[in-house]
Amino acid sequence: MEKSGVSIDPETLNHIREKVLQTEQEQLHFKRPPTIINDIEEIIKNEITEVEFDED
Amino acid sequence: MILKDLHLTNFRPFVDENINFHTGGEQNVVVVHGQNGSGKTTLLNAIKWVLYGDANFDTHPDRLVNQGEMSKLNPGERITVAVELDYTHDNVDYNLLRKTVFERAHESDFDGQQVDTIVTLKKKNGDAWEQVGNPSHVVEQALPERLSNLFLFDGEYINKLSGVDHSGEIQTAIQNIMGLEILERSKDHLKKVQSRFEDELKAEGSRELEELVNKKQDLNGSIEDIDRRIKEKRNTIDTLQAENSNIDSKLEKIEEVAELQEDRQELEKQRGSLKNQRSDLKGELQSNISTQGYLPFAMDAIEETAKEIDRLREQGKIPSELGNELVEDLLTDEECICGRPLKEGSDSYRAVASYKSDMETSGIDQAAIRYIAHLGNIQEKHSSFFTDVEEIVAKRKSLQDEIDDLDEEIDELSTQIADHDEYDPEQDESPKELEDKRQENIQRVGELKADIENLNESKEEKQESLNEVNKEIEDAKEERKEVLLARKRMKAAEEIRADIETSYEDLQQKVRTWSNKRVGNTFDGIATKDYKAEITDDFELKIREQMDNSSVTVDKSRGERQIASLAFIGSLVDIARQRYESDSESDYFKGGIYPIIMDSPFGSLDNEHRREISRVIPELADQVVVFVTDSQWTGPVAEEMDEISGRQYRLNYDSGDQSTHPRTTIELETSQGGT
Amino acid sequence: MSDATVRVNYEQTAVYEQFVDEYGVFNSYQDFFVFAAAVGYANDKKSDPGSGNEMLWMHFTDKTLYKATAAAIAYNDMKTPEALINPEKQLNILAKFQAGGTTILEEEFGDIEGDPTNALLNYIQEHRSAEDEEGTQTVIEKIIQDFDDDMYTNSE
Repeated sequence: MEKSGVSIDPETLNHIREKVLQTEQEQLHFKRPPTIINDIEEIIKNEITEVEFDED
Repeated sequence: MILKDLHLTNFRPFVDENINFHTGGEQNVVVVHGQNGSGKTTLLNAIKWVLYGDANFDTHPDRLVNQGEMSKLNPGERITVAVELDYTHDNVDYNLLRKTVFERAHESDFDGQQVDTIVTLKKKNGDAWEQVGNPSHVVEQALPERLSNLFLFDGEYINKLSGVDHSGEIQTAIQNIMGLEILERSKDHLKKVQSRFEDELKAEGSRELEELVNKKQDLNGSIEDIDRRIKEKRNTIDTLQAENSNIDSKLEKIEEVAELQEDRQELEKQRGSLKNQRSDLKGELQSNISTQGYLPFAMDAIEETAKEIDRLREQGKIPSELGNELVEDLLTDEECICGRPLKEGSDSYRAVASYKSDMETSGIDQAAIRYIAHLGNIQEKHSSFFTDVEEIVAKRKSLQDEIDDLDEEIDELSTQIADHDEYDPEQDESPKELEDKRQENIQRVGELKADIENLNESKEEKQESLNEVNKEIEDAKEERKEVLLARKRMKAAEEIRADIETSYEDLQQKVRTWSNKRVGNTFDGIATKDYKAEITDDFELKIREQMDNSSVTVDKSRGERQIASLAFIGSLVDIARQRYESDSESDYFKGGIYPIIMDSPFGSLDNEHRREISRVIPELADQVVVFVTDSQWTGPVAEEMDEISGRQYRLNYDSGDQSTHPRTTIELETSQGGT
Repeated sequence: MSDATVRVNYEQTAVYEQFVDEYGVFNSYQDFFVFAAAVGYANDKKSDPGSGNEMLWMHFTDKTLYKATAAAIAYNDMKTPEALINPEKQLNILAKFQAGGTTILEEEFGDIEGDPTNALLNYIQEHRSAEDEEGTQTVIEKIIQDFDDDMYTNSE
């Protein structure tokens, strides 16, 4: 298989996933107002801030 | 959570009553019986109310206040309704109190106006009681509301769980017990977040990228659409099959065709069984091919190699001396290379044992001799492969012939049924009309199944296209940081979602498997007839009747289904406890110790089934509370319950007269199983 | 080299999906691998196994007949006794015949719609020759006997 253009390291993905699930848990238990989607978007934006520029 | 004392004040028919659910002994069941309407369901609701503030009353849902006490109030005066629950969780004692103050507005106000609700939670620390903040959160940790339906339930819920077309309930229950709801929600939310990043990509990226993302979104939309349509069709199939089940019942009740219908049912059952057998045979065939099918093709090589090795032996190049390791193996197995038994003390044993020496022999010798050692087995498998396969093929043919015959007979019966076009006033239709509809439904189901297959194929194609488009998006050469970031973030959302999806499915199946095993065991323990219970991969509860060589799914076995449903709930309690007591990796699926409180589980079953349910009950959880209607509290139920109950209560309902309002008192009848 | 590290790369072509994943004719990729190798050998067809998947020799550890078959096929191909004791070579040769075999199976069954079980069964049965079988049986029995006799006559 060829290498695809975008790769994210597994640790980062795990980290994001745990944060997402934690947020979901809190939202469910505390019945907070439904900002969950924004919250998750923020989590990902905060964790993924760097990109490698394509080399030709 | 272990329930202890429940105290009710002015709650519906209970003015000032107490009930203790904790036996603390081997007999872990508390039984509460009373006549219909005496307040059993109210007790169940009281527990829900104190825990969550929810109560689901059928009649006068807003009327919590005891009528007798209410009637004593003048307008403007107030009364407190309270339920207090003592419970233990994580080895800590808690006291939960929920109080609502009502004010009577006027003479004909019997509901009262809610003034205030207070919930207080205290926990025992040494000898003192401490106040606990955020009571609902703490209670939620001990017994989550989403599980309350699972552990505090009534006969109607059992009916639902055990219903033929209610696989969704079982799946939901499993999702709930594992906290899978969080996974489910996060999947949905991540999808929306992914969408946002996709939109960003479209807005910021090149035209080509925009097109690709559009294509991706279109394909996703199509796939979702297909899923929806498949689901709809499945639902329709369920409905049509239920309709046919109904039609069958109706036909049974029409005198002219009752016997024909019964005969047909019988034949259809037989046909089902034969089809299962046919399916099993196919499995056998495949197994044979899988494990031995290669032999006919490899036999030449095997034979040639054997000859070569034999030649080497003749030339003395392979001493047929056995290496020590091989000697040990043979002596331990007590069988020689050729299959001759080697009994200790016999000549052959001594002969082989004598080969143990201090000399090293080369690897090739050993390999060669091991090879020869396997030849016998290979030979056997090769010849048996064809005989076995031929046997299966013959059986399959004869089964198919039988099935074809049955098809004809069944068609004949159907035609005969359809010949009766006399109107039946009770069923409001003629057999012909019913039969025509039945055939129509069968045909329609066939069409729907074919549609679903086509849709699945279509879905696969679209999925493949989607994979390609995704790859193109990833490979697209973009330069602006915003675009690259958006793309990376979109991918992150997608990958995490896929990961959660897999975990979710894995967990669901894990629980299903576990639960299935437990249900199966409980069932086997009862063993009235040859029934087996199973929760399938699709979360359907199936009861199968064991026939000679196979088993057939049985539809009409209500008693068995109810028992299986109870066993299923018991299995979930078990799973939750296991989870709780183990070191679970994740914070989210902690499990817990849950009690089971069931309201009238005996339903309209016959005595034999009731007896069996009684036997199953103590096994379901560490703490079980059973509410029983007096009418069910006779014969086998009373006998069985007597044996297992650690405490028995009676609800005494006093319907009151002109001057007094109805009230119920709770009377302790027996304790610790004594009379 | 220990058994644990012996492995070979191969490409799982479409027939794998057809016969293992979709229709479950074969219980595992290993089973199909060996079957394809046997077919390739019987038709004297070898080719480059490609890459994308790994077959581990470890998978055959409890399948002594597979190991014997691998030894037999390798021996016939290499024509040296070393073939009997070199699992790495055995696996490599097996993989090559497997690649040849899958090409043949692809030609035979690739177009089949639906369950290929019956068609495959026919194919296997067609390869059978009853006379050959009897002949082989006799030969093999004799060889086993030869070894057996030797073992007991050589003892003290």
